[in-house]
Amino acid sequence: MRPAIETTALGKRYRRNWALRDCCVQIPGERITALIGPNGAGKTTLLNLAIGLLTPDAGGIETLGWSPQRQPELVLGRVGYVPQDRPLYSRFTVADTLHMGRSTNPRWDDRGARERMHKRGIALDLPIRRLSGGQRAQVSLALALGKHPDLLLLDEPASSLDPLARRDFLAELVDAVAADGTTVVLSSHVIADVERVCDYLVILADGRVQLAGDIDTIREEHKVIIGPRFERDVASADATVISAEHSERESALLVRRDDPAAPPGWRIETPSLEELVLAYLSNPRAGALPAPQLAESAAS
Amino acid sequence: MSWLTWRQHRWEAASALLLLLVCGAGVVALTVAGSGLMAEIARNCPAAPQAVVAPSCASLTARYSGTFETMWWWVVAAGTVLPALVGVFVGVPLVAREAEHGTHHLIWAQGVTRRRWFLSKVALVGVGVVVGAVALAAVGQAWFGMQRGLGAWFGSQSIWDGFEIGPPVLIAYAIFALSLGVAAGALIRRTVPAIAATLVGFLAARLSIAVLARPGYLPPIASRAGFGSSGFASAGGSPTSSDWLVGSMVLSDGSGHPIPSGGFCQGPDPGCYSQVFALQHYQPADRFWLFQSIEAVIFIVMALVLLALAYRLVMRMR
Repeated sequence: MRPAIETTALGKRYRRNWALRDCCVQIPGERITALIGPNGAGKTTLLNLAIGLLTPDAGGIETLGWSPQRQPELVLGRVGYVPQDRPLYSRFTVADTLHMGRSTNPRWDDRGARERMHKRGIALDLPIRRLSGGQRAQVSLALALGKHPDLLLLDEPASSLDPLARRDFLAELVDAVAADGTTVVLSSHVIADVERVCDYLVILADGRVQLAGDIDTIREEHKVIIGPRFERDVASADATVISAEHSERESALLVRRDDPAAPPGWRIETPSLEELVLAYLSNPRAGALPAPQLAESAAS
Repeated sequence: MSWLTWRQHRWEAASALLLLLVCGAGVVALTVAGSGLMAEIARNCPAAPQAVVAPSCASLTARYSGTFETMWWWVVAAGTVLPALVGVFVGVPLVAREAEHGTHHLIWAQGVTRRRWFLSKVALVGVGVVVGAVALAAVGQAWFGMQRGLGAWFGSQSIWDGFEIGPPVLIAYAIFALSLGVAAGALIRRTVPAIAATLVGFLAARLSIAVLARPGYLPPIASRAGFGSSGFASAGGSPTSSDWLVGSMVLSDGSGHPIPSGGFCQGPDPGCYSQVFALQHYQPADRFWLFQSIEAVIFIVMALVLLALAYRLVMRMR
């Protein structure tokens, strides 16, 4: 299975600011990948480049092995995209929206899309402007899934949904893609959602890839070492310290090493995904190197 | 794409059809009313030109000029306003409404490439606009024929009077307005400012070409009339009422220089008068269709340039 998205020194500039710079990442196929990063890290930019809505200013990007800019006819029919604000034609009805999907996509699954609407209790003759936020999200998802895509890109799919709608939406998503092994790349702020749905993680910071890898592997590679409080920062020779937290009596180091040797009296814990992500987000310079796991997973 | 284009523009298409039907019905009604009026004038009035001053038919001729002559302006205005509306209601939203509502990210992520989306939408809408413009031109010609037929009783009317509603230019105006609207929408990306830009741009192009360029598509024919005992009499051809007078009468001295008004031949001096002649410039009636073609080509070339610009903007839009 070739990578879903592969970038080489990818750069995108808005006027003088680089939204993405020297971005090298390989997002594997047949996985559900989370794209995490603070606002302005370049998540939306990366997704828009992957579907060809934007053109790179430096480097290159391939989606499913093709250039979305030079070979859009190969990419567009195979990739479903749900943008962050979930644009739909507000004067269309739900049926019109599905009709649009049918008349613009070569592999359209009309029955599947109609069934999905039926299951969610969304009447086909409803105008789009009368739908709730959750229903709009469902229609957008149905439109993207109706393409029968090899790759599904979702930009903040659960944002602006209430907790119930968010749970339904993610469940729907997982159900839909599990059956045909669709590759999914979704950006999110919500680590709980990521933990529930995703098995591969890419952290973006300042337009660069900070960390990329299989979530289980990443968790195994990192350890929290907790011991008595010490004053100075530790620069360990044999472990990369991602973050150090000091409470009144204890110090906790999050290190990147799967078998760190702890001094006597220290204990070692496996970090939660949230701890791990927050450690990286709060220390944008950590892990700026390409993740070592990436090369292996790409080769396999 | 054809379904989507139809779905997004069906109200414009329906409005255009309704408008054409109303105009067509109006022409039919006017033809009936006009021929009735003309029959009445023929019964009650002496032959032209005495008719105009004959008291027996003053009210009839007043009815004619009140209804039919003033309508010239309305029809010529419609020949300008209707193409502008095409630009505003069909051209501008094609890109600007998508960009404004963010739906360009929806449609450009479907299975049609951006290039195909743009080209097929412009082509389909363009065909619709051309069909509408042909129908409008046919209605306009029917009206113009009727109007000339009625007016013929008072004296012939020039074919040039109907230049702005001639089929070639009317179709070209509509294509130009459409392209201008599309390009303005792609450039400005917001509907209301793009509508304003389209209106201003269309009127500027339309009027400047009509006033500045049209009289000189071909060098006008100069008519010299010498001053004789019975006033000015031209030796060669002189403009008739079916020609288009583009330069008014100027008095010249023997060497061809214009004479300032009141500055010639003080007192009875036959030697002086024999030197003076009147100069008029005109475009003859047989150039009408050539001029229609030239103006149509100008507007279509401008339309193609604008569409190329819009295409580039769309391909780079984010």
